[in-house]
Amino acid sequence: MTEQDLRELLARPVEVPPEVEARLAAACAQAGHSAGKKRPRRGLRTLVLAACLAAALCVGAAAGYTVVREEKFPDLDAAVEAMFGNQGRDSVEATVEYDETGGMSLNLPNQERVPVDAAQAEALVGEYLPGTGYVWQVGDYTLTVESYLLDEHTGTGRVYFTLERPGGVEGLQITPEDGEAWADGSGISLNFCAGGADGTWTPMSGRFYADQNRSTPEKLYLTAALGAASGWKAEDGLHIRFHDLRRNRDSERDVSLVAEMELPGADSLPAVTAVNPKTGGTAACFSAIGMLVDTSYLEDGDSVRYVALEYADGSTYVVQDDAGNVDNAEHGLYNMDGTQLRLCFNRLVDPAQVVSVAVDGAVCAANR
Amino acid sequence: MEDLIARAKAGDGEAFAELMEGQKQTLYKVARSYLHSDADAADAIGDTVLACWEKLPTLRQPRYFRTWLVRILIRKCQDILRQRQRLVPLEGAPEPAAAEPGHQRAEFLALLDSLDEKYRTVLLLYYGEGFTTPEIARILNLNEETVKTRLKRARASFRLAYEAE
Repeated sequence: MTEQDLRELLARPVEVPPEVEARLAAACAQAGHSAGKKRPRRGLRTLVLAACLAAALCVGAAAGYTVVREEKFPDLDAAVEAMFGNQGRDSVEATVEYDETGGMSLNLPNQERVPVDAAQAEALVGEYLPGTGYVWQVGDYTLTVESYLLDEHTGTGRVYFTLERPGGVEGLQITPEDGEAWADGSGISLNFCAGGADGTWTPMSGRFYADQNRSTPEKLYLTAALGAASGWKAEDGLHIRFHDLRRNRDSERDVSLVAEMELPGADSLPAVTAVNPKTGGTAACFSAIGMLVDTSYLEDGDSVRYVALEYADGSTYVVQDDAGNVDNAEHGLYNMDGTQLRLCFNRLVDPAQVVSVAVDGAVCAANR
Repeated sequence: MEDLIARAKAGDGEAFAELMEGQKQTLYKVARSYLHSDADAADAIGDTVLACWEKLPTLRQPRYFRTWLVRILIRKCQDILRQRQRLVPLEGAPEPAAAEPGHQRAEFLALLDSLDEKYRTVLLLYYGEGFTTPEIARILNLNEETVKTRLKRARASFRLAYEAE
């Protein structure tokens, strides 16, 4: 059988069994019967779910979790400091530890955090920071998104938010060495989701980090470094999914989602491309917050060892250096074929000052 | 089809029924690529139709209707599979007699059975239903590169299987 045979066999019409026909007809009749009584419009359903007068940007909420949203004037200085600075997050010296059997039990690379220049940040990203923050009350949790930056060119994003609950936030652990926050399954978890062209929302890959100086058990100050495959638009915003993982205990299905909230769209950060020296095509693109590297032309596309941005003043931002045990990315992810690497920076980058991108020995000039 | 979608979104039950009738082949074939009986496929399709009616106002781009619909169907199929894994069949309970499939359906079902489960739905969506790899990635909630890899491997394993005959 050839591929053409396969296509013909799979594509040609088949007899649909009577029970399927009957079930389809019954479902359509049921839908048609309810057509006379107007199907509730989404806005009305949302207001029914919300408990107060403020409009709720909420797609749905589970029983026991009322979701209410308010807008707030954001603290942009704090957001910039949290997203790009070193307040509450120190540089980390490489630490390697072994257990009693000689196995490696801890391997933290060198991580350098740098202070942020507030004036530079304002100039670079100020116009892309949304002018409104959002507060959601989800059950007894208060989720506040102070600000966020989205870059649809590299597929990266950063969100600065707080999460608080009287009596303590449940189920999030903070790694003391680098402040990474992760869900341990005993309480809540959050996903930021990017929208697809077909209107569906898919969780982004990402890491959360806590400001350990300011965070308390009742209120966490968090920054999310996010990445997702291309195709999503910054103007569509993000969805935030709030999960209570304890709800899965007695269920075979995942019933943990208790609320899905809409974070409105924003202007995308601009990005600069870098040229592949061999092909003349695009080797990478980078913005103030992240980069996307085409690794398909590299010998080991899914195992990049060195990435750095070279600045006009001769300095270098080493994003990743396996040989030197350096990891200055908040988050990195490959696509499944190992042909793309997406990196979230751990500092603010001025793309105009970057003259080249170095990837595993290949130097790719920035496109001007 | 976009006119039907617009009318159905506005609450026109007849337009909705016509829309679903037009997707009957896709719904049945995709459901059968997941589920092993026509009865289960009927359940999945019935639930999908009702969910589609309820959620149609949330579909922003009518040109992605098929992608959206198939994604709902696959979620329903996965729910049924999970339920089937939990249920223990009663001993002695007679299986309901299945209708004798027509020739084309028999050939189609036999072909599905011959395909590796990992690749079955991807192959059907690509070759049988004409979805593009980005659309399949959305439907199956996979990275597009993963879809391409599965197609490549499916073709390779398929050729191997048939060259051995």
